[in-house]
Amino acid sequence: MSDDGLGPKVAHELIKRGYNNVVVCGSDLSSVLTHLDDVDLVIVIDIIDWRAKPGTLLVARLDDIEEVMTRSSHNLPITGMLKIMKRTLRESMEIYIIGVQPERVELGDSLTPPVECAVREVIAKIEELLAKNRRKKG
Amino acid sequence: MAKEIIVEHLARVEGHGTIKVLMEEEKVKDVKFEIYEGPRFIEKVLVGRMYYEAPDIVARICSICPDPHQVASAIALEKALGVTVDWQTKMLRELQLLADIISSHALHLYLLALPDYLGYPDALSMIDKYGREVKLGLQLKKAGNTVKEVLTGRSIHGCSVKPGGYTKVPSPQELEGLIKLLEESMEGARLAVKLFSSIDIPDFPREDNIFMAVDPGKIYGFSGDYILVSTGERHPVENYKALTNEVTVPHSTAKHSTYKGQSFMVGALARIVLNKEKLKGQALDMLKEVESKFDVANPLTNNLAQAIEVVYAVERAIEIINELLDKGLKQEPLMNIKPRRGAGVSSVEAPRGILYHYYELDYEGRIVKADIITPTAQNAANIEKYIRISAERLLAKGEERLEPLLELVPRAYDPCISCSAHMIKVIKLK
Repeated sequence: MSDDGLGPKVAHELIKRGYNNVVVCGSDLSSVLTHLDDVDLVIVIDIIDWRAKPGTLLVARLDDIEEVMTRSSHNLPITGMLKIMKRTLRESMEIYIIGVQPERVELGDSLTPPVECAVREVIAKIEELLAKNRRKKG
Repeated sequence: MAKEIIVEHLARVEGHGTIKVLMEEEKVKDVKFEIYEGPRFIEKVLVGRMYYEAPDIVARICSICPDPHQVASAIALEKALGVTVDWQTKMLRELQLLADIISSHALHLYLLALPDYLGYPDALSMIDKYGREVKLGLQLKKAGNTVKEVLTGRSIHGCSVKPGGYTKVPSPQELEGLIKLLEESMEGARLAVKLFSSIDIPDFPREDNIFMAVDPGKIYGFSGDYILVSTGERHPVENYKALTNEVTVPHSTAKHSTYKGQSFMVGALARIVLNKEKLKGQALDMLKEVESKFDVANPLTNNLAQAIEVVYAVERAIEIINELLDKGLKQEPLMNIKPRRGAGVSSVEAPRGILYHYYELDYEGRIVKADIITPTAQNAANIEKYIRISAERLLAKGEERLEPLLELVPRAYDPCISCSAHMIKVIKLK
C-alpha cells in the first residue's frame, strides 16, 4: 500500500546491517510481545499522517505523548497498544516512535520518492537512539 | 424528515468500517455496514504463480489471521494435486490453527471487546482497575504468538507452510518448551470466560439466526470437508458457492453472502451452536457452568463463545503437543509432489468463521484460478441485519444516543475487515 511499506523497508535495511531484534508487525503491534523479554528500548517505525510535508520525520518518546483518539489501520492505535504493553509488562522500557509523513497510502508496490528518501534518515535516527541507550547503560 | 445516524469510524475492530442508519419519519429505512478498506487483489496476484508460492502470498491478506489462510491454501492445493499429507502434518496444522485462535481471540476479548462491558472507552483506561486482567490477556496472546513462531518461524506471515507439509518441522525440545507457556496462559483463558459470563449483555439485538460452521469430525476442531447449517443440513465443501451466494454491494468493498435468501452467522458462536457436543475438558465444563448466559439468539454472545474456545484451544494445544512428543516427532522433509492439472477447495475455521480457498491448476501446477471467501465477508449481511434490529428496538425504547450501542453489534463479530475487502469500483474517465 505505497508508503505503508515504510516499516518493512526499514526492517529490511536494518537486517541487512546485522541488527537481529527486528520485528515486522503488520497491523498487529501485539506480535512484538514475544520479543520483549529483557528489552529496555523499543523503537517503533510507521507512517503517521500529521499533515506535514511528505517524508518529514516525527520522533517522539512514548511517555511524552498524550493519549489522543487517532484513526489507525491497526485495530488499536499504536500509542494505545504501546502504553498498554509498557504499563502491564515493564514500566522501565523506553519506547520511541519514529513516524514519517506519507505522500500516498493507496494501492501501490513502492514507496513514494519523499518517503524513500526518508528511509536513510530513519535508520540514522534509530542508530542514534541505540547509541544513546548504550551510553546510558554504560 | 430524513435523518442519518452515523458511526463514522468503527473503533476497536481490525480495518476501517462505518455504520450508517438512515431514518425517515422516526423509522429505520436503511442500514449500511460500509467497508471501504482497499482490496488486496490477492486472488489475481495468485494467477500465474506456482502452487507452492500460494501459502506465502495468501498470508499477506491479513496479519491478524494469516495462519488459517496458509493452512486453507495448503489443503485446497493438496486436493487439486491429489496429495494426502500424513498424520503429523495434520496435527501440526491443527496446532497452528489453535494458536491463531488463542492469539486472535485473546486480543479481541481483552483489548477490543471487554472495555465496552466494563464501562471504559478503551483498554488503556482499564489498566488502573483491571491491570491484572489486561496482563493475563497479553500473556494469553503471547502464548498463541509463541506457538506460531515455533511452528512457522514468525507469529505473523510464517514461512514454513507449504502444500505437502512444513519446510521445517519444530524439534521436540521446541515443542516441549511450549507446554509450560500454554499451561500458564490457561489462567487468562478461564478468566475471559468468568468476565464475559459475569456481564449482563444487552438484549436489544436478540433474534433467531442461521449459523454455519465446519464439521470438524468427532472432536471439536477447526478444519473439515463438510459444512453444517443450523437448519439441520450438512453439505460437502465443494458446495461452497451455493452456501455463500456472494454478491457485490455498492456501499462496501466486501461482498455479502446469503443462504436461501437469508443472511447467516459464522464464527465462535456458530461453531459452539453446531458442534458443542464435541467439546471436552475444561471448555465443556465451563460451557455447562455458564449455560444460562449462553443466549444463542443474541450475536453479542459471540464474545462468550470466543472465551470458551480459548479455554478449549489452550487445552487441546497441550494435548496435541503431548501426542506428537509421545508418538515421536519426525523431522520429515516436504512431500515430493508431481504437479498436475486439478481443482480443489478447502474449508478451515478462522477465528471469525469459515474460510474457503479454491484453486484450479494447470498441468505444470501453475494457478489459473483462485477464489477466497472470508468469514467477515460472509458475516457482513448478518451484521447489517442485527444493526437494523438493534436500531429499531433502541429507537422504539426512546434511546437517544444509539451510536455506542450500535457499535457493540459489529464488534461482537470480531470482524477482520482487511480480509473481507474484495471489490473495486472502476471509474472510466473520458
